[in-house]
Amino acid sequence: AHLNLTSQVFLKLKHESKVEHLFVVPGSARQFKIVLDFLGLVEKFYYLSGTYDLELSVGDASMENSFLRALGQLELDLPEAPEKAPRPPAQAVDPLAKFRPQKEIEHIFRVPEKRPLQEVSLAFTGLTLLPFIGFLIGLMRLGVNLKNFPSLPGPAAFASLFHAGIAAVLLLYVLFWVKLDLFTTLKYLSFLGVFLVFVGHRTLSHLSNTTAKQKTA
Amino acid sequence: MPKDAGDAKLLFQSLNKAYAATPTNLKIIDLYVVFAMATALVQVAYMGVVGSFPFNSFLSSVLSCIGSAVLAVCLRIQVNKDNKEFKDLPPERAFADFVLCNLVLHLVIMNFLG
Repeated sequence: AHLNLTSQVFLKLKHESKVEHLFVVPGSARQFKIVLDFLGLVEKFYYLSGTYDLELSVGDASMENSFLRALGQLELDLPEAPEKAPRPPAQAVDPLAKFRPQKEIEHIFRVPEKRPLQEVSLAFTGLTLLPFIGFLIGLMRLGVNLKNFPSLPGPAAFASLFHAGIAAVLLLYVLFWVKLDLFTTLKYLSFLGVFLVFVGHRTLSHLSNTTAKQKTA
Repeated sequence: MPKDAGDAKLLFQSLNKAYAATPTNLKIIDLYVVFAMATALVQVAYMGVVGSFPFNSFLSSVLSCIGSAVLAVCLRIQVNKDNKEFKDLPPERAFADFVLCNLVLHLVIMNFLG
């Protein structure tokens, strides 16, 4: 076959990692010939050793039957790449790859924070109770007494209920911290609150009446 | 200087004497304020030792102490007979307010304590 000089003849070497190298085969009307000196081309090949596919591509504007023909495979054992060798260019990533199953991600729980030693915590719990003991001792020294507690059974009952009501609310708060959630607590608190308002009003108004009577008497 | 030290001692003694004249119920409230502040100091010292990891717990405890102290001071202001502004307020009413506000405060800090 006669080939025009304007023909395009390419030799393609494709590495198994998809890195490709194209060589234009120079030639005259009669013959196209290319000599590949692999040792000189080592750096161009990025030092990639392995199997290369050889393909010959012949085509031209005036040709009717341009073709791409696989010629076979070539094993190249190139020397090791030195430190400064250029890396092969990154190959195009299949754009649909991100929609396929990805690498599995292992969940790592957050490392818990460092907590203090239990002895330190217990020591400081004891220290926290110290001011309270100091408060009680101070109260005793001040001569705190229960003289104003109503002696009549009716008001006395209300006064006791008042104190019991406050204690119940505080107990509810402790339960809230340990076990309950806010909604349950608020529900019980509303019951206790209504009860406490009623009882407290009775007690305190009785108390204010007695002190008013003491003042005027 | 000895004169300054003597003056300081005299000042301290006169303050002590004046304070002894306050009615007992006010002294009780003052004692309660001191107790609340001391507890707050212990909490801050604990945080200084072990670091502030559950920060909301620290905040909750400190604010509880300070809130209780503030409410006690309000009670003291309202109950004090020398205070002309609250002359018509019965002390029982002030005490009822104190109790109510304390209960609300403790609910909030129990929620925040975590």
